[in-house]
Amino acid sequence: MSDRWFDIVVVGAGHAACEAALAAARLGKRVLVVTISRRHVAEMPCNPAIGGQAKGQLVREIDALGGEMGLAIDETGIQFRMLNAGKGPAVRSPRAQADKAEYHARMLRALLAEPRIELLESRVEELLVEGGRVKGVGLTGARTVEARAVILTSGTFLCGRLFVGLREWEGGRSGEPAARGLSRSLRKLGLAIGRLKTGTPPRVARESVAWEGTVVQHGDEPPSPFSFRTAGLEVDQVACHVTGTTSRTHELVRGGLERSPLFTGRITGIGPRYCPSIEDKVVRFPDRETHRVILEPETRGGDTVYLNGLATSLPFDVQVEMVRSVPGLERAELVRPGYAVEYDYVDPRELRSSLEVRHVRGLYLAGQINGTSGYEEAAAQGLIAGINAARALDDKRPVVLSRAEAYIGVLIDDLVTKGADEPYRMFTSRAEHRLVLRHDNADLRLTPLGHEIGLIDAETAARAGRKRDLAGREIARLREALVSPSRANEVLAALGSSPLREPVRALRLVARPEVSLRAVLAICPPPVPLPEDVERHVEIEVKYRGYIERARQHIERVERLEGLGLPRDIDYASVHGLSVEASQKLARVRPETIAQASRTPGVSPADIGVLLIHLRGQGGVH
Amino acid sequence: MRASPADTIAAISTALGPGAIAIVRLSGDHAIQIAQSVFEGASLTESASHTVHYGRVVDADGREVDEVLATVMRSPKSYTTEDMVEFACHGGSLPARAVLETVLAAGARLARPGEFTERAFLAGRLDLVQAEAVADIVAAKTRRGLAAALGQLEGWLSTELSALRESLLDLRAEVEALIDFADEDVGGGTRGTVVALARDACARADRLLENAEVGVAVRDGMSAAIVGKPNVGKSSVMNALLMRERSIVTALPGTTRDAIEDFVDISGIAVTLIDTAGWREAADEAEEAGVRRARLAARGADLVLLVVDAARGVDEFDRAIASELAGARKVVVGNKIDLGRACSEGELAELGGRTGGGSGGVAVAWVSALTGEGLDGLRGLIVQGALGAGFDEAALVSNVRHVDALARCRSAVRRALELLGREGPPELVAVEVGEAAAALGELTGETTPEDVLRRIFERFCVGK
Repeated sequence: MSDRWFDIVVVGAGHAACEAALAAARLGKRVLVVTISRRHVAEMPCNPAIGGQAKGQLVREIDALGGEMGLAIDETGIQFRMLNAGKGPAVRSPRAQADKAEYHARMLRALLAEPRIELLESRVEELLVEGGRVKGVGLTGARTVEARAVILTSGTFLCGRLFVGLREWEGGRSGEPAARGLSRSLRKLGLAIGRLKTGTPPRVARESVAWEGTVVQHGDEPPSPFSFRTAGLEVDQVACHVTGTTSRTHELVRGGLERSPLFTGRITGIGPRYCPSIEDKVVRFPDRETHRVILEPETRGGDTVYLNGLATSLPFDVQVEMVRSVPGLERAELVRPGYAVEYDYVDPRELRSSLEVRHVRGLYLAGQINGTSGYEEAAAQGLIAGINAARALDDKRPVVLSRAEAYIGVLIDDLVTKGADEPYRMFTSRAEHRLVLRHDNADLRLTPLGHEIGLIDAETAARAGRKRDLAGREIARLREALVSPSRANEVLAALGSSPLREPVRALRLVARPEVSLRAVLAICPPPVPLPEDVERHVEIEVKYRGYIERARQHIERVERLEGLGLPRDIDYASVHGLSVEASQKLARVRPETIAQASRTPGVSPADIGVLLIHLRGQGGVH
Repeated sequence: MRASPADTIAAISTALGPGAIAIVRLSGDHAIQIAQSVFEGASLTESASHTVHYGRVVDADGREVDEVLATVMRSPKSYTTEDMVEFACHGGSLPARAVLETVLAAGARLARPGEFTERAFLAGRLDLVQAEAVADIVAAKTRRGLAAALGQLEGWLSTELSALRESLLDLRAEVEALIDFADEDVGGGTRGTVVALARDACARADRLLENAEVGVAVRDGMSAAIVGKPNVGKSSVMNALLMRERSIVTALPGTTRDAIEDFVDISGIAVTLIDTAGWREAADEAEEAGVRRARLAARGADLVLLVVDAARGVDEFDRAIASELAGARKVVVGNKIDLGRACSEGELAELGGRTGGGSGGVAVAWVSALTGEGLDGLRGLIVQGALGAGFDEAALVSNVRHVDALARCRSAVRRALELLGREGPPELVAVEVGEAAAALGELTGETTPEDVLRRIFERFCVGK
């Protein structure tokens, strides 16, 4: 007999869990969030920042679908910057420093404010599964909770081990216990489990930093918000400070290698290449004279500073000396050492695109347990898992975003078709349709879907609709409007652009790289002035037109195959003409569509042809 | 409905090799439009479905590529259910290849193996039995193609292709690092490096394409047209090279009224020998047609063997033929030396003009088709003629698919360079470089985003 009954149990309370719980509750489900300690809800155990390259786009997408992360960082951010502002508009990404304590408090309030969410401090020891269907969870103390779906977001806690130098102990995060029972439970279900590693830098006391030895880095004024629902941002922004390692630092690092868990083989899990420890950087790039270190405040008024760039698991005594060899940190007091954590993760190829485990109905995984890294990647998966767990209980089809619709689609598709050999972080280069997956159009891409799912209110959806209409009308107007040489040439000359000999359509002028939309609007104003977001959107669509058109054609070609579903029970070994490698890989990944099959490593276009023909023969394509 | 010319596909749909005709097939929304743009003789765009039209395929400069029969099949009553056009060309691989290149240049995209079938299938045109039969073919064809591709990826070509792939990968890593790690202190990733790498990639693609023509000869074989005035022993030369009776050899002038093709293996190269009617003022109607075809064959061939009667000497008529073929790569064959030599080497060399033999020298062979004397020398000259001067057994980009992929790769790199030249945004440069890599990937295997990231992590000190 179980003690309690819920629609959905969310295990964990990190960034994936918060999105999952909020989404499911807002879709009408009774949700229990089980966490070891509510003090760690939406904790930022590493960088106190949200967004950045590609991750910023993820946050905008989470927001457009009705997730919480964008609103939360807008309310608790202490410094906002638009990255790549000097590059083309298609690869700009928002990033913000967070007050991590405020962010936690803000997210905790959101959970508590949701009447259908209950928060329980306990530890899940076991998954209850019967006949291939999840039934609930077993908690510490032999209590059980019955549920129709379970979302696991256990982060680095599965059999977590922490390392500082040659000291090594069990734990999920600094000061928190690991989860062993759950790991065992997953193995018992037959899921493929691997081991990954990540690390974090030391924190120092704020009053011990000599700021004059560093270079100030300010936020953008005015700051741009993450959320399409944030009307305006008024933030008193806090600065970060940039410094760098010295040859003395590198010497100390090299001297400490014999007591490094990474370089003595104690850590076997694979770490992220894009976020190497200072040990890695010094060893792999011996010629570099300095490596950048950014001092990031962890809270607005608080007393700890995060040393971005100095991730390490060297012994404590080496860390102290190493930190003090950096200009500005000569007298720094370490309040917490850097450490490495090694943890179990589930091969995400065990999952469907809905994030449900293929062989266990009702069991969903999201976040680091799937081999990803990053708060944003976790939140994105949490949101999708929460939505899909709720929809499954209502007998609705899962929401699966395509690679052409969203970075979230790229993220999940990569995970379920390619697996993760190292902690997976999103990069814009992973998205083949990068030019159409921009942060500025995330609302146009996804808000209608968010509304349809039920997480975006009618007013927000209508606003996105208006933006789309306005932009469409403006592009049509520019296509028609004629600009005469007499009106344009003075402006063109000022911009260093060649003069007109005869009237041209306004669109042609905007397409010139050196001419901004604003300049053309001044010559040829619209009947009603354009809101700024519409102007930005129109400008990108016009300037990138040829490329965006090419991208859309490519997407259309692929989408024919995205629409072709593959049956779950197909016996690849018996498919006539399929190569051995392809049949093995396909049997492992079990792609859901022909397009996904074509992206599976080891599957050639010929194999896809063969597969199509086989399915046609079986009458199996739908 | 899709309406992009890129979605119209084309391929040679008959087996390469000897055959009465070869068919080049187009399918897609723009099939008829593209076909019309290279076709003279009838209006395909206005013709009804399932009609056949006689005419010529001409290239962008208006030069005739081949005489063809064009069959128009309109959607949905075609194999793929899309608009389709089939050009029936002259047999042998050469005319079909030329026609295919022409339609690709006019905007069609080269079909992937099995793509026509894929389209037919997607449109629901195949039943179970047909589908399984086609599956066999797709699988087999690809494997053969793969084996051939692997066989080819040895030596110089393999080295060159991997070098190009590497340089594109470096280029992509630089460009992507500029974008994805813009706020990180990675070192490198500057515009200057990007431009230098793009130039390097472009130069490598150029070099590979220069070798393409030679490679085609090695892989698909080459053609040699045997021409000359009547009764100089053209058919005897052909038979001697084939070492069997093939052409109708008589002592009567004008016996060979049509172009006759046959294959012979010379030093590992499949050479299509084309015996043609003697060039002269035609005596009857059949012969006139033969002579016309002889001229066509000579112009289309990779190499011309101009046969003269050495025992009788060079006359005006020989010179007239030689000057008509002034642009062609030639070997001048002085035949019938068993009966004597009434002309000098210089006179024969003069007929050769620009030749394909040796290193800019003049290719002249003295032979007796009757006794076999001098035939080995002639064979050597044919091989040299096929491969061109400077052939160093390197080579060689061989089939149309490869050449097409390389050409697309190079155009994309050129567009990237053009963008870099006017300070275009890196994400657009990345699109072009990505396209270049995708095109090359058709030869060397795909470059995945993971490959690019790996390269970035190797080269740059990424990570804050």
